[in-house]
Amino acid sequence: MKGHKLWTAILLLGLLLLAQMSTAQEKIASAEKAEAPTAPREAIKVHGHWIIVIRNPDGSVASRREFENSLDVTGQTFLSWLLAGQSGTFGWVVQIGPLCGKGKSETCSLTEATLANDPNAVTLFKSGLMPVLFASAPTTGPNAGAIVLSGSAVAANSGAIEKVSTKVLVNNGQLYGFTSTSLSQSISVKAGQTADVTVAIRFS
Amino acid sequence: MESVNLQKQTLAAGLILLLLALPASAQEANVAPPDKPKQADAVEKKAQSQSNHPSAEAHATQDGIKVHGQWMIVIRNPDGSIASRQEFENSLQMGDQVLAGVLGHTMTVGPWSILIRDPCVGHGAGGGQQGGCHIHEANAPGFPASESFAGLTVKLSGTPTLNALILSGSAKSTYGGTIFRVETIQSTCPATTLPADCGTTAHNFIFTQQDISPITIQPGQSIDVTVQLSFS
Repeated sequence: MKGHKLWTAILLLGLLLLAQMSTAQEKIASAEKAEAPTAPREAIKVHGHWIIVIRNPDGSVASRREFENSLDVTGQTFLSWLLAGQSGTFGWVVQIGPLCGKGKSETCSLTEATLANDPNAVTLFKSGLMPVLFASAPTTGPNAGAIVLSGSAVAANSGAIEKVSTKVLVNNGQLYGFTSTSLSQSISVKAGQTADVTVAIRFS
Repeated sequence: MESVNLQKQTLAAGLILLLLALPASAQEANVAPPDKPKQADAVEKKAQSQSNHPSAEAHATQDGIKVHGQWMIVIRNPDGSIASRQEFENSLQMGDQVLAGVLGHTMTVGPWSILIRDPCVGHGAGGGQQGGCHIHEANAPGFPASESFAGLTVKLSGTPTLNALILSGSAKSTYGGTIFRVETIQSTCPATTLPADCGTTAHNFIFTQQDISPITIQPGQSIDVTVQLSFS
């Protein structure tokens, strides 16, 4: 008699568990249906790819380095501000160094030609100002859809490139850091060598 | 003897319960728990949360920099009550061209708009066919086969720095229909045009886009949309 009662209790417990499993599965299916539109999180990416080629005075390649960079917090702000239509004119700056300047070594600030005589640029970058940077947005070729910054700087002083950055100088004098990275292994440069810099910032 | 039987029965009961419990545990392990319902201001809070952790940007990764596009669509009944709410991420469509063009000095940005496909009234034959709901800033260029809804707001958001763009607006479906795709649209002009002058003659680019599981809209329901675009 006791055995019969026990088996009845087991059967009831089993049915209860099965019912709970069924309800849970329905809840999961319902939740999946509701969340189905959700695309993979953080699906869109922007890539900042650097190539720095160090050349000897005779044009031969002394070293070559490729690496990725990351967007600065102020770069986030600048992009939002730009897409909100609140932009004035701006010029690009690529900074490497310190390898430039006379006497005391300054960071090499490669700028677009429009900043060559800009009072804010002259004040900020001092003798490191080098208006040799070109910004383009190719619509064909391997860099189609990217913003490409390129320029070359001759090192006035020997040293090492340890940190690189891209920045934008807005016509109101505001300088925004856009992307930057610290190199895990610095790039040695001797006075008289040329640094060819190309940065491709890609959105995908 | 009865004691032995009782022990056997207890053991059998334990085994059965264990077998019944195992599949349920396995199910829980394999399926991620669904997201909890989000608050109305979840989109903006996420922007603030992201900006509170700038140290993450100090480290470059192979994946590089990321752009986020997060949508929230709230369907409201004519009495203002909420019929449904959806949140999802979108994908960059032609936004790379816009970003590269604006950053490369070949484009100026114009007004923003949002296109909800297709629970509104199109401009086709007879004017009564299904079309997109085009929610736009005041001076945005029109969009073909869509019903126009002005009043899109574009604002900067984020704490402590304004590092996200929030687009928000609303449309109303007269005859009902189904939403199956959503798009953000950025209009642009040649770089020689100032942003303030880049209006109705601008060229439309689909900035981000996402196909979604169909959302059924009843006649008279409104569609409140918020999109957060941010970068990290």
